[in-house]
Amino acid sequence: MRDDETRDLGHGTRDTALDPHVVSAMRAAEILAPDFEARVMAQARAEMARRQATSPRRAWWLTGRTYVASPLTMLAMAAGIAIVAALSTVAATRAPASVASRPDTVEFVRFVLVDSTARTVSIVGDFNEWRPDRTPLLAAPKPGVWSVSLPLSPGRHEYAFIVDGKRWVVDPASLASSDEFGTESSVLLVAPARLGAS
Amino acid sequence: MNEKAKPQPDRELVQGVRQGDLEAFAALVKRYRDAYTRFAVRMTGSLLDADDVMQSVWMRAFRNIGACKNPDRFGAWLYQIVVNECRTFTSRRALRENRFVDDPAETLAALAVAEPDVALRDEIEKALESLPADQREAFVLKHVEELSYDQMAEITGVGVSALKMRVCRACDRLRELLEGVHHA
Repeated sequence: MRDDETRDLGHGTRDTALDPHVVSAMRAAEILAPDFEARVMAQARAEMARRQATSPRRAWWLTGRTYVASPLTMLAMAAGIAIVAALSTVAATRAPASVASRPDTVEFVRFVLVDSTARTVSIVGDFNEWRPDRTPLLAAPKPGVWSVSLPLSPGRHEYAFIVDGKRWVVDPASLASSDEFGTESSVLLVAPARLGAS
Repeated sequence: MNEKAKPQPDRELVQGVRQGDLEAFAALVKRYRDAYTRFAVRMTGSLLDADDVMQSVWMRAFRNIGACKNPDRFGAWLYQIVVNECRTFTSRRALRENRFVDDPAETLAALAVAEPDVALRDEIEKALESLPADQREAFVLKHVEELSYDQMAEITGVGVSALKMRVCRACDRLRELLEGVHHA
């Protein structure tokens, strides 16, 4: 299909293409700096080193070992295992059911900003694709107080408030973090919900 | 033997990265390093910003390689990450710098006199930047990267009809803004 054609796209729309010179300029190749790969690999190595430093050592029961025991020792070990199993059953019946986490649930989090000069406030974050039109805060009866409750999945979330449609405000009540482009955002850690928790 | 060594398939390299093989990751970076650079430059407006975005893309790919469901199509999976990172970058920048162009035509007219190629390129970047992000994304994928609408739908998660509408609107606007610029 030629670039200078007018194309019928159905449902009443036309895809009117551009001047070939303009299209040609747009399609010019772009090449990253020669050291790009080196920088990416340096980051990957650092990431790998962090993972290795923080990951638990391989569990001892996954390591192959050979043990030699007499029949008397084997009998004593079997008795010991039976006692541990019996105690575990008793403990399980007494344990509260709230120890298992449910990572697929959400938690409602209330965001509040106090700004007496604001005419509108919205919140942007990874949970709404940083779209300022998606999540407005509502004005509370008390002047200058704005709030909204949002369902968030467990984990780390970054966000900021947008005041009057253009002013970027980090939450003074939360930790701040700068992204790779130098923008400061607020950070919120949402813990997983617990079974049986009210 | 004169026969060239057969390149290792993406699937094997992805498996290698999952097992902690950094050399496999280096091979993927080398293979795809500039595959999506042009898209990132057209979306962000500069090679410098595209460099930042692409670094972020590769670290995201490295951390989430386990989520690549079809390692034979690693390139398509990576493309989705590129599109998402560009979306994040452009939306954050618009908010941070309040970069709302009131009158793109005025901005174009105010450009300093420059070499013809550079001037054309600057005008194209300004015109692209003046488009809404979703239209810019659809236009660049269609007319710069020359993808089919089905490919675009797979990468962006947007329906074909909506993509066609966005491309159409972007073309109309760009025609207005860029008409005759290369003759100047």
